[in-house]
Amino acid sequence: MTASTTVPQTPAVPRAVSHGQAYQPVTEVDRVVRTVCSPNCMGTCGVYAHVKDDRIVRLAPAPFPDPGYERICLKGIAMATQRLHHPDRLTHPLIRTGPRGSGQWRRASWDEALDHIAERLRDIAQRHGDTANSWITATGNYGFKAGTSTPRIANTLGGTCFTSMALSGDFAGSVGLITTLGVPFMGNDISEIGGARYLLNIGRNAADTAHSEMHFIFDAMARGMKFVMVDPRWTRTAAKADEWVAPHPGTDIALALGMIHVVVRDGLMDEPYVHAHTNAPMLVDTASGHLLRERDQHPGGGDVCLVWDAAVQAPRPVGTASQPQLRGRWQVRDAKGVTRDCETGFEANWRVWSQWTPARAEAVCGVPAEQIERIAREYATTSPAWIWLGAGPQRYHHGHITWRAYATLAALCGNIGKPYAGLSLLDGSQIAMVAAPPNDWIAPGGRRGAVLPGTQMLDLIEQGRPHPIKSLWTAGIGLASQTPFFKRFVERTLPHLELFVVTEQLMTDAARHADVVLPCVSYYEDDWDLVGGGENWFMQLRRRAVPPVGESRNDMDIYAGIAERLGHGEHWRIDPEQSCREILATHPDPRIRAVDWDTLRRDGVARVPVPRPYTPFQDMKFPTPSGRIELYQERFAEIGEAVLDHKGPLENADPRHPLRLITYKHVHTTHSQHTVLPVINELIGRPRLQIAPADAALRGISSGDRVRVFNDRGAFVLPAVIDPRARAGTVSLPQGFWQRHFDAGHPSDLGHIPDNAVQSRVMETNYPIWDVVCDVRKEQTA
Amino acid sequence: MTQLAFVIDLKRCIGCDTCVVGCKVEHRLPDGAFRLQVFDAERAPTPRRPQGGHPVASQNWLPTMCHHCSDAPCADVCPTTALWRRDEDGLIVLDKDKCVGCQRCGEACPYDALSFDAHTGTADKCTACDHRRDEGPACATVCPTGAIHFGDLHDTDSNVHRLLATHEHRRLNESSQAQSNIYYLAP
Amino acid sequence: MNLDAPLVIVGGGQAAAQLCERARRLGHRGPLTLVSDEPLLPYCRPPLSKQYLVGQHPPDWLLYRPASFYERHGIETRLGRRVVSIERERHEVLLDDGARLPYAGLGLALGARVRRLGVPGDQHVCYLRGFDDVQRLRAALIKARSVVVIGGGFIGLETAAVLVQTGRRVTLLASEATVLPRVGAPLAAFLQRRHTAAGVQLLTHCRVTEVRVHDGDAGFDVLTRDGGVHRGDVVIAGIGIVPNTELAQAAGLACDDGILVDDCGRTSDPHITAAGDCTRHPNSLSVGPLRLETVHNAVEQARSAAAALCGRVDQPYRQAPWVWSDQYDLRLQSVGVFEAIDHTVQRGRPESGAFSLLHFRAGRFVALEGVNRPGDFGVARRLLNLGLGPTPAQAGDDAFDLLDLLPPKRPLVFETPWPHRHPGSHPTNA
Repeated sequence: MTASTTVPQTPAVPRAVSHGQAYQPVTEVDRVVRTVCSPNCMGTCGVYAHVKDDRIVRLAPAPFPDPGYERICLKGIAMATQRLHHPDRLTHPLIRTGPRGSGQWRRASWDEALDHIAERLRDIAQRHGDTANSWITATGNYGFKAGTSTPRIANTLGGTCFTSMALSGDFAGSVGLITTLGVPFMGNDISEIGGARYLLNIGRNAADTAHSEMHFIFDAMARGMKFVMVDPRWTRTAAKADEWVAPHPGTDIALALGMIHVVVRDGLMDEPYVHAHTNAPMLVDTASGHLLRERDQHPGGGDVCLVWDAAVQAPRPVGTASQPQLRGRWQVRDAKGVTRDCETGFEANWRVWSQWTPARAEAVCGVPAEQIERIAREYATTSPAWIWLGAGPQRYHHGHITWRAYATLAALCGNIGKPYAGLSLLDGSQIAMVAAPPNDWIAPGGRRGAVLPGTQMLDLIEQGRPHPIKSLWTAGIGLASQTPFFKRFVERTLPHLELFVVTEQLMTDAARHADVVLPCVSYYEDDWDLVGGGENWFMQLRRRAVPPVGESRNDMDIYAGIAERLGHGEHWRIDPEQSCREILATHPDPRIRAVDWDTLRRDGVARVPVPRPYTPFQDMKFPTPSGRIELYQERFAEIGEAVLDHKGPLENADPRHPLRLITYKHVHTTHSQHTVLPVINELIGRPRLQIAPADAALRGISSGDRVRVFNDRGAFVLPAVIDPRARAGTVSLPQGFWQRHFDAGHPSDLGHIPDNAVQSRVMETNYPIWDVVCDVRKEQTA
Repeated sequence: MTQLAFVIDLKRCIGCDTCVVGCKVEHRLPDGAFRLQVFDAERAPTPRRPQGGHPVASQNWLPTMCHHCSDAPCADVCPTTALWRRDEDGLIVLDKDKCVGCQRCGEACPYDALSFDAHTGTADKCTACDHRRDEGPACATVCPTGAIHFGDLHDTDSNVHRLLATHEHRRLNESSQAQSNIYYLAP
Repeated sequence: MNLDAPLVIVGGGQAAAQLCERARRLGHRGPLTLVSDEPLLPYCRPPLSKQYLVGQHPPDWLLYRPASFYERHGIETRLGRRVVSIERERHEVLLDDGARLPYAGLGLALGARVRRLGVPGDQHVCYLRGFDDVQRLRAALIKARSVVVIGGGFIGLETAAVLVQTGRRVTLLASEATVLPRVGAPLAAFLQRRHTAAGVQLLTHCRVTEVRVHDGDAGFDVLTRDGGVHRGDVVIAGIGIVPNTELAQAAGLACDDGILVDDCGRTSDPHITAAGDCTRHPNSLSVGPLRLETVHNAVEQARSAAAALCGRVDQPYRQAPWVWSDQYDLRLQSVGVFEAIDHTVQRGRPESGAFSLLHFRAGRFVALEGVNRPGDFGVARRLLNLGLGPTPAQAGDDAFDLLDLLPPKRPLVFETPWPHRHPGSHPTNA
């Protein structure tokens, strides 16, 4: 074979196999350990780690009560066999000896490192208060204890914990769900998709990012389910779908509105459902945008909203009308004798939706009107019809509206709360575990620290508000590659921090800038953690397959060392095995409590009992102000988002930045965890900027040319490749690469987190990763 | 009479490279060496190139390794009998002790299945994981969509037999007359 | 050509087996008889001076094709039988047991025999050509602590290499100024250094005049012209081979240091082809005809010769000759024709133990010799067969990948289209 696979010219590309071992499969191993691989792919695959001489030589799928969950993937195999002994693997605590980022370290013992950190934390707390010490973690490890250890230590010490969901770019859509359905997450059980007849997938590139679940989809397709994939990009999933719908990036809302228009126009709405389960019939004061309430009509009346009763031609409290109306405008006289123009929430929305003809939708999103018409009709008339929402479409400034729009579509068709239908993102026991962890666990001793939004971390640190922050400790987060502000962090924020600690497995770009780097174990070196199902209802046990590499410790032990030194050790002296049992037994969620410990301990996996088919909102009770699906959201009336309307990306092509930049997720890595592994490098090499022929020609760019991608916030340099399949006006590259993979800069340097009023009001503004425009030019050769 | 063979379901192959990695790790292949590769149709290794332009497009992925041909050209041309078809199960076996690295096999193979082991200066290829007959080939074990099947073509109870009896299938480069034992199911 | 008419193949090596196999593949269905004067089915000779000489392999390991192959293809084998004469007018061969085999086509793969020293005491010398030779030699070696190897060619060098690695004392006597006189001086010197470093006492300019039994114990003294006396418990000689042309000459076929054949293996008789060590044949890369003593030649030439026996002359033998030799951890490979070389370029460095020499004639790449550079060898072989090659500048640039000169690989295609399916297509095309 030719040397056609590119080996990148990066520093320290490790030789994975020694000469003597090459081509010799291992036929006998020392032990096989059942454990769990759990990065943010959400696969939470059970694995058999085959161990020889304390190295994992093979990974195989481990058994589950349902064989449909027996799977692993290239990333899991690569990580288990190539990450633990990677040349950049951290094995001992390091304390810096030179300036930050200079790469000068001295090896320290754990005692010395922990003493060093504890002393500084204590000192900072004394001068600035306990909340001056801060922590942040993200999705590097979905083990329950590992993942919750960081907020746990922040609470123990009364420190500050920064949130990270929005910083990961995953939260906007949840805001839309919260405002519409009252919950940030929901999902069917993907293993039951065989019961659906129609799958409308909005941006969940499953074959790339959830390939462990693809076989369920294939089985369903074999049974006759039609699979429609909505994605601006041609992906593996689009290639496997029955039909590909390709809106322009960031215009999914327009597509949804076009579909909603068709559904309403053609009488395909489930009107009884909309009447009964949404707030669409409720009356709105057209001038103020507020919902009418009983107390407006009768002094002493309550907060109950009103609907128009055609039987009596007057407003009545919801639930009491004999002929409630979905559409209409009337004049209503209130208790003070003032007459107001009122309309139903539906009418208010329809005023907008009626304008969103398929032709208009096409003009905005680029999907042919005929296709919009057809898909809308198919979705509305096929049952059960399942919408699967991905994170991609919400990675724009108004991303919360995207998920709201599809929740609206689903609601209008009466699909939410129906088996094998509804709206699905992801749900499973992992989310159930962490959504509301046991209080005693997450806030031991009842103490809680402060919580601040991670997306504003730099501003808050630099400005010292709402309180001074003088230390930051990160664990399980790819700060340098997965957030948009690392360049600024190093240049402007870090000087405000007296202490910067990073717990890591490899010397990442972020770890390089730390004052203290602490080596933590990989999944395979850790013992006794609980791993819930990312997209399933199982519980698994993480068990140790190989001894910790070097002096690595797990997050719990690392933080325990600090807690001891700061006088809070009693909450951190935890029996590893017993604590697993207790966490399950004391968890607020009864489904988690129902996990059978003996089975789990014996088999490494146990079921989390849930009703089947797993159907969110089957009881049609929504934790919203109205208790219903909120198609009309009055509290955003001043912002103009009470009704569902289209808002495109914040940044759009302008003469200086005519191109959109998309850093896409792909099968070869989960975030930044796998891009430095040798076999992954061999398969995909360094990233190249994919650019359409017309855009390249305009700039005199040929494949292989080095190009600079830039906007006013930053730039990065890499080779380009002409991609005839690329959409004109959009440049893209795979995400997850480190600084070493680029000739200069990093794609995240071009990002920003502009405040979004709705998202901030609900919880936090999301990082809109792809709401970025830029330009590209050929880099002059040196 | 046994004839071991692969059946690969192109509908289910998503081109994720898990089989490639599983094989590479199983056999501890050094950097740059692969026994199994996944291409899109018409041979276009990464970045995968789909056919057609936007928005009409189609794309399939093609895992390929040694086809263990019943009339293998590699065994035919090998000057030292390093490559031979094993009668009892139909696998093409490579004995590196006999191989002198002339690369006639690589030249003759219609499927480019033979590569070069630079450490020993000999040919190298897929062994159908002969060292783990009970578990079967690593590629089949690790494929997350279950697209790779392996078994005895002549065993009526086997997956491979059943799939070929019920699905449209093809072999690559049929005109080579090598009698490949990788059968692909329609994409 | 009537594919049901009888074919007779004479020979015991790889050429003979290929003549049989290829004829069957090209559709010959009539009687096919293989006559070999060796006790074994056709086997591979190269291991005799390497792994087989000092290893534990059973004789079957040497076979080129297993017994089941001949059964499956309906090839009758007569082992241990010698052909006494070829009777061309009667289209028959006469065997030493009196049997007469009629033929419509006759394939001669008569091989070669060792050239003997011809000095007094020659009967004490072990020559190494065939299975019987190696069995005798293996027996003699069991009690041997020292060996004298006569001959600086491949056989001598390989034998010396395997034997010195068993701990025996080895003396190698080469009659010329260097070992392997036909390779260039740098390569010869490299090999000599390697042998000497391994402990072989390697002497050049040593012409053997006599072999005597050593007084007293078993063992021999080898006397050389310069007055030297070299002691060895066993004396082995590999000083070349002589083509077995006697049968062909007696039958009136044109011969000249080998049976003369064209590029399809045809002799001067239209019904008779020949292949392998016994032939002299044209080669597209050389000026005049060559007699090659390589496995590659035996196998490839026999394929063309078998085609000719089946009436097919569309498969001429046009390949760059190549040969390999394994000595210690060195794999020496060469390909091409070493005539009128005027420029040589080196890739890699001899100090590293891996290098190759690319040879040019009037700017054109014609040959390569490599030590532990099988990658270079393989691509050079393919390039020469395609009439391609690097420029001297490219050859000398270690960063230039010779593979880039090869034409693109053949595509992998499903020659019958799949049933129509449009995943992801625009709906109006569905």
